[in-house]
Amino acid sequence: MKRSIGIAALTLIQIALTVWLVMQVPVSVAWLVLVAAALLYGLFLYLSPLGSFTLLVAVILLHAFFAVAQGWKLGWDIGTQSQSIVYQLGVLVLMAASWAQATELRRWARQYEEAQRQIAALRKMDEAVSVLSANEFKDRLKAIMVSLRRRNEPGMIVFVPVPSYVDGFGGQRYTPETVLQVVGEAALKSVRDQFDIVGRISPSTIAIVLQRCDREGAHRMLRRFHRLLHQQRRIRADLVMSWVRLEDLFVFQDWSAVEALLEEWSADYDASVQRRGVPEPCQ
Amino acid sequence: MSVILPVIAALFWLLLLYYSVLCVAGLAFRSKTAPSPPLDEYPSVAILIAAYNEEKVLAQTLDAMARLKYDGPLTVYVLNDSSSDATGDIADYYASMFPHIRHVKVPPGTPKGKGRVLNYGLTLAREQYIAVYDADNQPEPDALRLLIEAAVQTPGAAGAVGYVKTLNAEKNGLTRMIALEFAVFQLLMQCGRWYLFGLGTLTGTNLVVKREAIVAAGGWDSSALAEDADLSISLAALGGKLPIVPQARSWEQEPQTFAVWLRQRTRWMQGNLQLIGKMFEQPAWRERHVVLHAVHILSIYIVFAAVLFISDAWFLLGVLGIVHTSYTVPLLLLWFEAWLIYVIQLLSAEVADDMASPVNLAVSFIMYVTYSQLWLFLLVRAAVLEYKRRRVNVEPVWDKTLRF
Repeated sequence: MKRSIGIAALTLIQIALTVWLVMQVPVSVAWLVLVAAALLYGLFLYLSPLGSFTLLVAVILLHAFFAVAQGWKLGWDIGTQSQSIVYQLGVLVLMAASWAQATELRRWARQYEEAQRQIAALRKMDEAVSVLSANEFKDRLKAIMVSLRRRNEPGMIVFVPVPSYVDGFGGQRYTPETVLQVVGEAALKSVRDQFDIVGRISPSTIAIVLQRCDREGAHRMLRRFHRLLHQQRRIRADLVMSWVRLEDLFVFQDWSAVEALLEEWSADYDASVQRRGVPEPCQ
Repeated sequence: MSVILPVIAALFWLLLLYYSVLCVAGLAFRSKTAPSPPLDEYPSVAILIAAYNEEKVLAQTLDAMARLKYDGPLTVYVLNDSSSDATGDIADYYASMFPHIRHVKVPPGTPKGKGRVLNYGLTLAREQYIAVYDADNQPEPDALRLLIEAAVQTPGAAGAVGYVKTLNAEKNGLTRMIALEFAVFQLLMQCGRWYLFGLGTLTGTNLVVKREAIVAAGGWDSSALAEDADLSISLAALGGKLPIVPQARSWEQEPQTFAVWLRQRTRWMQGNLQLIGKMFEQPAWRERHVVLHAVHILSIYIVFAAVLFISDAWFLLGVLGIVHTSYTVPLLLLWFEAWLIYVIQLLSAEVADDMASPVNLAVSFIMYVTYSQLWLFLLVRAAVLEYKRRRVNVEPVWDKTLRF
């Protein structure tokens, strides 16, 4: 709606200024003004937004330099100079409005095409896989726990708490985003799509839930995780593996115990290394 | 007087014409240029980060370094210049996690400043290309790759220069004006100069240069206050080109208070005045490409400033009725056009950078009569400091920019 009003306003400005400009020049050359305006508008529509803007700037600057040269040559007085400035401003606003309108129309067309392309791409895509937020992770884990208990199946949870750094950030705890990003990406690639889940349960901890998976299966996943960390070549893989802790979901009888476990791990790392998770040197 | 004033007005107008041409050429370059194609093999790169008491910003910088997507061998050297805050601890923390980040303790020495620290880094780095980032810079993940692709594939290139964007542009009016100024004078005009004359100037950060070219140029001048401009001229004297890569963006924090801005800009201005002095002293700096650089620097720092000063004085004296000018020069029109051209340049940068907004538009309208006039004050301040320094023959004092 806002855009439509904007386009309408720009059109009104164009019409008003074109009429005003035509009235300023002799009738014999009025048609030339109209042709020039139409030609420029056509070029604005045809060229890329930045290309057409370059043309707009070039025309405005040429007009400005031409006015100065004329004023200098003819020795314009203050009145004539003022008149020239008003005339220039009129031309400038007309051209800027034409460019803005043409660019907006082009943007509409491009956004429509892009939206069509995205809809087509979405139709082909399965549900996007990404690192879940703390709340999403908790909700999904709750549902998983119910189904594991009902089917009496094993499940594992892996915690990767990244050590935070405290000093030097104005007392603020700080965990490098890049580390969490790399760990999250490697975790997503090492689990089973649509089955296991990966979440960021605190600013510095990534958690992975493995359904229908015992300790041996979790080790297989961790070996994949380690290999992927090695492949990304950025972060020290062995260092990340030294942070990994494993918990067996089967030992938790009710949801409140799991919730307590999550809360424990989503606190800071300094405390969490003391907890009961068993270090898993997974080579 | 009746002859001098029209000559000055004509000179002023010629300079405006030059900047208008650069503006249009810069826009044309930006609308046409696509990034260079990918390389089959990427050369080794050492990133040098000079760091002195950078605890407020270094973690974010190193985080950005860790996110860089570069397919060749890459080492990041944090050159810790005897910091007394937690800079070293932060560098150690990152070095413990990322094998390609190294914390280097630079031995204390003089003259104090970035040039000496970078030269120390140069003695350690054996990589083919040297990239420089300031300690408050956050390059986008593709920035380094784009710079290297341009440096390797542009014939005769000694390196490449990217674009520095303002991280805190919306913090206040000053940072907004700095952001606009960078967009125009650091990128758009640079693009225009590169497009028309094949000239590029290093911007102090977000740049890559071949190691052998820096060594051939004698490294950074440790006593230079504008070590980047100084190295640009040295490289140009050796025939090395520096293509501009607008797509290679890095984000940095700009001064948020007038006092910090004034100190930083005085140092830059003093550095450029130092450079102008050096141009007349160094015989190797009289080559063709260096002359183009020299004309450009002189046009900005001497001719433009002088003409702007006379133009302002003339306008004020005329308004106060002290001087009565004849109408052989269309003064009102000249003033309007000078303002218009300045605004058009700012708007061009805004549109090219997708920064156009009603607030930026309003700021652009007032920048000519506010921010840009401070140029004169800076020039006078820097000239006085440089004169005093030369008279007592002391090393220039490197004034570190305060972080927020």
